[in-house]
Amino acid sequence: MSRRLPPRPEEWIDRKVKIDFWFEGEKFSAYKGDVISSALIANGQKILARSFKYHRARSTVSMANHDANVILETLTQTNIRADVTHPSAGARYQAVNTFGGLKKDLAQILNFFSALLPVGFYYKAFYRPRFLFPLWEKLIRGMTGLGKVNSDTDSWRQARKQLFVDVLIVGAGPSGIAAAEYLEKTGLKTIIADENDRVGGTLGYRHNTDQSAQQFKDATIKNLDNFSSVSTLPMHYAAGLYEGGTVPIVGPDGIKEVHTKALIIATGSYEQPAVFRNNDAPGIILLSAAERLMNRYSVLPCESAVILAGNPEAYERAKNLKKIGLRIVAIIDLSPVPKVHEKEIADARKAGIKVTKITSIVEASLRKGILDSITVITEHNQTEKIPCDGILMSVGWSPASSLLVQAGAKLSYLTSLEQVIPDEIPAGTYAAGQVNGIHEFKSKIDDGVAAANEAARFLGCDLPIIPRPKREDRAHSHPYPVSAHPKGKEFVDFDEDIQLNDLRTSWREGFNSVELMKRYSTIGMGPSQGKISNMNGVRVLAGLNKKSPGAIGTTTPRPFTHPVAIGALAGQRFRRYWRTPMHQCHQRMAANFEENGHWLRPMTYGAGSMQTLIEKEYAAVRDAVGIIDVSTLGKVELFGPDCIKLLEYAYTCKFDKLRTDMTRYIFMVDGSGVLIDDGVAARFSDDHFYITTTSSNAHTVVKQLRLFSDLLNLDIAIVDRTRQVGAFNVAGPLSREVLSKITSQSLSEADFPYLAVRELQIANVKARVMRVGFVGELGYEIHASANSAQTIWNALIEAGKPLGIMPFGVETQRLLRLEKGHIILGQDTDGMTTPFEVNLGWGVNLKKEQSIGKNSLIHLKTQTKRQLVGFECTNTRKLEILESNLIVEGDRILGRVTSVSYSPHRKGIIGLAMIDSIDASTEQICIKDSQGNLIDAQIVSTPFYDPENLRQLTS
Amino acid sequence: MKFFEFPLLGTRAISEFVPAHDDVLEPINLADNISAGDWVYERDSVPKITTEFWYHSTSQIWFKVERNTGTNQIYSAEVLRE
Amino acid sequence: MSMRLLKYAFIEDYAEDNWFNTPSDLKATYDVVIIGAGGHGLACAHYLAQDHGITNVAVLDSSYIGGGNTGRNTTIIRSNYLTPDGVKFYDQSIKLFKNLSCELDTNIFFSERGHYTLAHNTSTLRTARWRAEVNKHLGIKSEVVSPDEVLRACPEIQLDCGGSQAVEGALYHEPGAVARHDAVAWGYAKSASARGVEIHQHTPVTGINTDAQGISEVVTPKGVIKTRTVLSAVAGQTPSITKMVGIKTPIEIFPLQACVTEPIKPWLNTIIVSGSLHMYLSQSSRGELVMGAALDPMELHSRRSTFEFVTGLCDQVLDLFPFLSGVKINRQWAGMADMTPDFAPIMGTTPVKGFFLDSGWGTWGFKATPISGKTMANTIATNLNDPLIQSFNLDRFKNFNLVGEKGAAAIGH
Repeated sequence: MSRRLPPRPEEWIDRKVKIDFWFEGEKFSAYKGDVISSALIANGQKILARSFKYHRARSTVSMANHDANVILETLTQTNIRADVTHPSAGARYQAVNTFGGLKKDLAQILNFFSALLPVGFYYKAFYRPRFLFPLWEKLIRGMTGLGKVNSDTDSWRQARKQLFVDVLIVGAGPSGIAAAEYLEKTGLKTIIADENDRVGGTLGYRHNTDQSAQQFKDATIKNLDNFSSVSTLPMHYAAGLYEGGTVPIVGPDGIKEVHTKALIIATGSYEQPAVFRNNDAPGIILLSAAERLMNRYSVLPCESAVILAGNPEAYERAKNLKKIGLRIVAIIDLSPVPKVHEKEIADARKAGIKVTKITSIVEASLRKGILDSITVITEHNQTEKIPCDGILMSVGWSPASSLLVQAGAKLSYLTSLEQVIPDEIPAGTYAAGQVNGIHEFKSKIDDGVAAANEAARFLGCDLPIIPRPKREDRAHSHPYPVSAHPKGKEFVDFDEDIQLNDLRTSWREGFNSVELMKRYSTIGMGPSQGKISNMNGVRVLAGLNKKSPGAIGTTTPRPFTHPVAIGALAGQRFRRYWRTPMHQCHQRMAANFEENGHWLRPMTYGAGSMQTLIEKEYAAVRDAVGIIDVSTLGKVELFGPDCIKLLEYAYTCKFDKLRTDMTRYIFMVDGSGVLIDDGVAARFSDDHFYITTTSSNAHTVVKQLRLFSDLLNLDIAIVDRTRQVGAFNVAGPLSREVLSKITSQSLSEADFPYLAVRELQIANVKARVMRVGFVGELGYEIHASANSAQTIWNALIEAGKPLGIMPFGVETQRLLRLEKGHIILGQDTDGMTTPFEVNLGWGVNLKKEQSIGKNSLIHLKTQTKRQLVGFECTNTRKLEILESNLIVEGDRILGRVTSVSYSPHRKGIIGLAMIDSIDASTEQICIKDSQGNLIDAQIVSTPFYDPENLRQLTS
Repeated sequence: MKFFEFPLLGTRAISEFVPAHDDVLEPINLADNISAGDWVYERDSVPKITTEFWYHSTSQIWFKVERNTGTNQIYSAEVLRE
Repeated sequence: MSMRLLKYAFIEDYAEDNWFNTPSDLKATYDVVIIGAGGHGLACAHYLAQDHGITNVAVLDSSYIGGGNTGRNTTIIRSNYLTPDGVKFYDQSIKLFKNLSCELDTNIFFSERGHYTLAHNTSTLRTARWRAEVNKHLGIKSEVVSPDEVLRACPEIQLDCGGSQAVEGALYHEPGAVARHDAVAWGYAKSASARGVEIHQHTPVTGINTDAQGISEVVTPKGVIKTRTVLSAVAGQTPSITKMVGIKTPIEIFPLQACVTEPIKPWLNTIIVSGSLHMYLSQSSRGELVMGAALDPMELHSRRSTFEFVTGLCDQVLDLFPFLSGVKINRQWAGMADMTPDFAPIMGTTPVKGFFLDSGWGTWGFKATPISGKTMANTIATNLNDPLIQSFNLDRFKNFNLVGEKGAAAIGH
């Protein structure tokens, strides 16, 4: 049977467009503009969902996303809020968290056992015997959780936008719109956002028969589109307020991060339910839900309605709904204060509506699962049962104040209003309208204008002060809309199925403050985060503690106001990719790349097992010539009279022995003496140096050098050339021969000795060349501008072809340097390694006046607790040892292996290990492999290859 | 997003900046009653107004910033080097 | 079926007695005053009473029970640390956790899930192996596993991480678990209360006085307490308390944020951590995905949430679990992490006689709740640092005897 009312001009639906969808296997028809719930209810569906814990029948309560009763899922989407989501054509919706479907939900049986499942029941059971807990947990996990997630679902992201405005108005109801209209006149750049499909708020339902309201609506809403400094954003909700005045507003196409100087919160309030036995039954809704259903979607919530009136506006609102088709059986007045609604009651009776004053609600009754009647105790102490299939509650409001509290406002309980209002709002943020405790239409407008005026003046506009309207001295909320029943089922929180007794039990068990009660009972912790349960919870707790609600306080509202999708938060996927100037060369040479921070570096080249490739490349370097791209190194040019001062502060060594046009190995420590980077320094003159750093620390070293130079006030220019300069290493006994083919300058030992730096023209390109020894062969590290580096690389490959030149990658480089006993920072050192532990004490000068970490190093020099040693296993060729395998001595852990490899030169396994300091006479260590086997190794001095460095001396 | 007006850069989000961890120069001489370990490791991390050094990585400039570590309010920002 | 639950069904209006002993007034003196009614402080009170018969104890808190980091952490429990000292310490904690529900007669939902620390490059894999080897040597079940094994444990994971920083392996730690953090605090509070310990909420400590013999008084707005023994177990507020007794520590306070999604049906049965992606997540028994990332970069004594945190986290989460786009984040919050230079706590005796510290818990505090309580109780009862915490003493920094955990910690979960 259809609940759709005849067409009305103000309705939000377009009856010309039909949308068909499925719900629980049944086909339904919606109009464009319908939300899923309105379409279901229009088509006579009574039960739309099952509750979380007891699987009781549920339907919508607020139609405003203030409740989370009706949550649906499809195969591709989960946790869909049916009250505020439009149906997609052809979609197949199911209610979440049912076992066997909505109608037959097998878990309904839990409702029967609810007495055994009191608040916090899971803390009191399921842990004995211990071995059964995993089974219980599995069962409980299966029962909790709402929608399912399908791991085949397509991934999506929405780019976020950044907007900068003078004023953001959240909420386009009467107050918000009034504020917008005022601000348009000031010219301040303003955005007004509203979570609904259309602006207007209560102008579209609660105040829709108020003539002045409708005039206002007609005049202003039309103008909004023509405003020049005010932009309107419907379908956007404000997720929270963050430091610095940032409010992300979430819309269908993504998040707009609004950075605003002033903020006007005109978000209205959450209508609150009454608490009585079976108040969660389908058909029992907030009066505003009925207003939305009827005005927006032309849907009748029920055939015969009972109105629960706990405030004066219930009457006017009831009358308005009667005008557009609601059949009202009776208005039940719950007000505890006699005569307070006298006038309204008289008017209603004159209009032919039955009004019954009551002292309490006994219960709502159901027949065959459908709401059937409400039983009350009248003012004359009589029990009266009123048949109805809808109970519309107008018993009070709680401000939608989370953003205000996030701004720093406090919530004070106003006894005259019987509700909390925002107080002590910091400058720059303003509350307007119902969120501010203003209920009268005219006052809402005035409040919006006054708030806008305050915001404008805050931003420097020279305007006369517009005073705020006074709040009515009249309660718009019932102070305690709670009727207890001995048989229970008076629900305070629908999300979590929390009954009145649960709160009482929590209180008696010691969880008697608002925070403890929340965490123990879980009130307010469900998907709707307590929008329509927290206030009643506070009222109940106040009663139990015999205090005023204001003294109880509230829990802290955290972002988000409504949940926000991960895909919307993630934003665009942006990742940095850096490539060296030789990247295409590597690709052409079939490099096998590995990620190194943002860089891609060749591990090896060609096809085949890693072992085979390394062997080939190793042989090329040791016997002929190899070339490796080291462009990822940090490179810094230093100019100025204070170069040495900076270097001697930042690095551990002294630079006076470094001669012009020579290089040396340098390393730096932090303030606690721990090694953090190493590299090479080249001196061109007293006021011109060039240094390299490790690839991963390039940025950090530059940062630190700049800091030191600023703090020491040095006369120096630091130029970070890391990404301007390409670099590569040509190494091997034939390297000089190859290089000399493409440069005319002399490369003789006399003209270009080991560790020297020269400026050469290579293949007609200017390059800076250093003789280095990292891999233990005659070698040249060539630095050239990124644009020209490839030219030199290609020229070298060409020139080296007849000599067997091969590119080699980082894996081979690792082996080559290991044979020379050279450490790799971050591999052979860790977050605590000092220079003394890795045989670098020779590079530490503690006589300098001031250098970073000096005081720590002085102390640490005398208490070196670990040392890096070289080891060798001659009895095995197979690499059973892995990096990080432990060095053990019985039960005791002595240290670990930091580098290990098969050495072609030594024809055995070699490696480096960081171990606790040992006696100088110790010759052996014991390595424990990953399977637990113990392997003996000899301690040997390094280098393992060419200890006399003869490879550097060739003529 | 918290913004602040910086010299040379204009208004920037403070998330663009990285604070210095070791932001004090190594002393030439430690006072007699302070050991190296104390000097390196001791902190006084109560909510208070502090002077910090912030690095803006894109422009590679260091700034000296006065900030309240309790409220996160920023009082001033200057280029570290005149 | 639990007898406890049956009482609720069959006895009208049944409720248990107040779990907590919360008298309105403070006594003039106590044998021990514990500052901080979080998991650690309450655990210590429980063990002081249970193991040592010391019950004339007051636990003070400026807010409500468990309202600090105990109620804000992401509940991950593990012992896969880098140093033998760390491993032994956290392993003992896990042993206590396993039996804690029974010991406290409160189900803390200790749920063994296994824990994967993903490695996205050779360097992290190397560190993962280092931890695994140390763990194995000490009898803890940790192992380096291949990407395929990660996929088997978590079939929904996207190993190539969207095209950069693919997963190359992981440190698998079998004992990894989660528990209900609030319940741990409440359980300890209940047990301590039953033995006579007093808990005073909303009672901040405004001063601590000393005399020639050491600690003498604790000052609160509700009165001055005479005592010779004070334990500070206040995590993010530690520097303010230590300042009262003139002690300096290396502790720095940084906000640590976390968030949860709406509840969804169970799909993630293990704990996933990625240092390179700066994120970690698990699924609670309520069905929410509980997620966190790295510390905020700047020192700040605040529990404010930032938008940068949640957007940055979601950006990374989708690299590992792309299908989560439509799942919604419900709520975010923060705690204040008391960080130390060596990622190890600061516990035990201090230069001030009678003043004991349980602090420096950074991002590793919840998992240590039982063992910290037990060892601090032993330390207080004997005035000697318990062997398990000797290397965590405050005096280690003076001589550069830092705990070696610095090698392993990425975001330390």
